[in-house]
Amino acid sequence: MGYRFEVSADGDITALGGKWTTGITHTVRLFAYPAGTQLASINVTGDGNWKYANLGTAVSVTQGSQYVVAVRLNSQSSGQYSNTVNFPYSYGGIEILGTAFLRASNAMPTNLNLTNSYGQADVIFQPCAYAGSLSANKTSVIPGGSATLTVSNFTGSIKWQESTVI
Amino acid sequence: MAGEYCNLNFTDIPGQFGTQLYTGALNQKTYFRTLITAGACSDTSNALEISIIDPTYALQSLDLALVNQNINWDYNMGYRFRPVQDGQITELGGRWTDGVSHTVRLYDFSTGNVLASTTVMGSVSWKYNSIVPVNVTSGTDYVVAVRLNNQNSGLYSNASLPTNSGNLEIVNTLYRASSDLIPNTAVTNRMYG
Repeated sequence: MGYRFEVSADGDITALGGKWTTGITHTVRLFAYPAGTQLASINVTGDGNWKYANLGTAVSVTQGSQYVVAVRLNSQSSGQYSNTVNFPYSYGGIEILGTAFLRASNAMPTNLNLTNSYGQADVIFQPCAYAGSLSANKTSVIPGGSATLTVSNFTGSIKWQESTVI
Repeated sequence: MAGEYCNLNFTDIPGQFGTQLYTGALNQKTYFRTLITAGACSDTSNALEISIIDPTYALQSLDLALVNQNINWDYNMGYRFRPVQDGQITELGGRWTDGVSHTVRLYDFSTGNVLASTTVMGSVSWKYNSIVPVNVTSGTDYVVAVRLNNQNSGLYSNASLPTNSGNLEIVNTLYRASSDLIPNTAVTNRMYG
């Protein structure tokens, strides 16, 4: 059980992990979607909070491509879920498209659920350059007026650009 | 909008490398974005549009800063105005809490008669509905007001009235408690609604 996600910028998956019952060790896997190819795996021991293990070799991921991260729960009374989640959800250069799950298998989960978060597996994603999001103190101004724009959640060096309609 | 995005040609703004950008004076609709680089990687943000307010939207054009908002008022609130030339009122609206619907009415100031009304879904970024155009006469006074009815949607700005904006003289702010009738209490240092 885990989730399917799309990355908004090129970057690296540097760690896998998640949250499940304390003291129970599970394997977390990263798959390329839709091919189902396993890109990385690592064992993580749960501690009831979020726990991650660094991958020996980071996995390069590509803007616009989709992946699945999943923890293989194997009847150790360690699973958990959250509800009232509304996928898709974007944060930090990743868009989570939905919870993915597959019964009694180490293969890539293919079932998708948009309202619950099962598992719960997770990744640490380091975008090599991520433009973040823009906000403004006003989106319309009087003629000759001005606005202040702010960029947040970015990774890299900033350069501002502007354009009028040609 | 999608068509406009096809016609954008972004260029670097010299010397702007910080997390905030002060745009300076704008006189036409302008789009902004960031280009982020890290080593050989780069990424561009969404384009953010800053539009220019049509000066015929008289109150919006005053660009009054909000002092407080989401106030639980039961008032009919707006302003008295005087066209500086003959013309038509073609839209009614305003700004208040997002997603809250209120009725906006246009009154003849001398009689209190309702000349037009429409229900507008609120937006703190200003929202208007088209109405059947109402002919208005230079030098005659009218009132526009939004009926706030205990939905935590009221807001206000400081103001200095009377003032001219667009084709109107905004005479004063008017309000009346718990009524759909033409507002009858005037102030000149606030803009309620």
